Amino acid sequence: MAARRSHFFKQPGVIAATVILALQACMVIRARFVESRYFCWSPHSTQVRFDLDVTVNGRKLSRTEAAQRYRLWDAEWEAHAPQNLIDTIESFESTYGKREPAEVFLRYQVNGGAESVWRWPR
Amino acid sequence: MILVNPLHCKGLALPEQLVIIARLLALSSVALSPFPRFVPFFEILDRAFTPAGFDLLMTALRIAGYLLIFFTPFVRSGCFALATMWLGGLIACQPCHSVGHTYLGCAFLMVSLSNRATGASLLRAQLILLYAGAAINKAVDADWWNGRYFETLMVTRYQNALYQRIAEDFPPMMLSKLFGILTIGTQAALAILFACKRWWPGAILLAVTFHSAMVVLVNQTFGPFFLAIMISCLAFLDWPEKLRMHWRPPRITSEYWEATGFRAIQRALFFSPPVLFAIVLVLSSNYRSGLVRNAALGLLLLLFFPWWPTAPVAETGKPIYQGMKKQRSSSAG
Repeated sequence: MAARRSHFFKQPGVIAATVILALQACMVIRARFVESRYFCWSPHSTQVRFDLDVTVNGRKLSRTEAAQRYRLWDAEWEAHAPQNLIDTIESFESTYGKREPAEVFLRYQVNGGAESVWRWPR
Repeated sequence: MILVNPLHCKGLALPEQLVIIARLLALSSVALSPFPRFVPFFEILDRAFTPAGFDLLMTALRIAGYLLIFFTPFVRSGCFALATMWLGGLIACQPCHSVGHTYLGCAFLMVSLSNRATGASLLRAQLILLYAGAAINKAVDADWWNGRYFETLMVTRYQNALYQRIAEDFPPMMLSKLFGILTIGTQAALAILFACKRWWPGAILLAVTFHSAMVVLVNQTFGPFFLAIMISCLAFLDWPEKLRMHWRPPRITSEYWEATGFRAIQRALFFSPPVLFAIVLVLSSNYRSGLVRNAALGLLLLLFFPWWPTAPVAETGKPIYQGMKKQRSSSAG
């Protein structure tokens, strides 16, 4: 029995799968220490309602245009963490968005709680 | 290149059970578009690919993956191509983050690493880790205990009339608290039940009921998440290699058990790839009314129901898991 188990864990596929599953477990633990929620098995763990004000070249974008600029799934709700939203906007504006810089004002509520705000540029 | 019939799932490098799982996962996601390269997690992806080049790579992986899975014996290679497409796409697109797509990619990856010796054990480990992670993430969040999460989800976001009507009969936030605590408890229970073989039948029924209820409540399947989970539940069944069906009167026999009457028809349908393919096809279609989808959900529950270990069994055998246990112990002896 022990020999069969030992042989099982020596297969390349099993070794690779064990490493991948261990990495996932590390991501679950990591999520306890960071604000963002990526690859950590947190399906629809938070309901973030947000309102995004984006101004490009003096023109204020509509809600749909703002969501399209950052390719968001939804123009009003984010289902993982507000930090995911902030990370996306920040990453976009500091790379792709440099060609057309924007002023961003983000207001959001986590699970119906108090309103928070975030601005770009900081 | 040897071509195979997509409905013929036996005699390949993988056990029949995993071939069916791979093809069902593929079928459930065939209509989904790959992700673009857009604000990737690693800048190197921006330097390595133009947007068009990345799209071309994803399309090539997608076409190759589906063709290999459905029409060739190289199911594992196809699964690896689709795992690369989904997980690579998620890494290359920060705003595209989705737990459903992540799970789909991981499920394909686990099947691609499996063989006849591992059986479905790698996919089973993946599902257990998903439930453990989900339970931990929710259990440490106060909003899941005090009802704020469910209140926001059901009342503010989805404005579910039925939920609001029932909630009126309870003290404020009570129903939302109950749902939050029940969800944490269910996901923790699923991680534990799926980890212990003797509890698999109960775990499958709990998972099917829990996820189906969520789909009906919020009227959406959370992208590919629901179907990928339901299909993964098949990894927790002992798949019979030989089935013999007699229709008059209905009677089915396998190497593990035999059943008669309604249960014989139920099991004949359940272990038939075309029926499973048809259910997945209906559930993966985006029906606006939800009526067809809910009917398919009902059929899914009906097919899964006999796995409940204490369900009365009217025919010759005992509940199916006892039959399997008995057969195993006699063959081991």
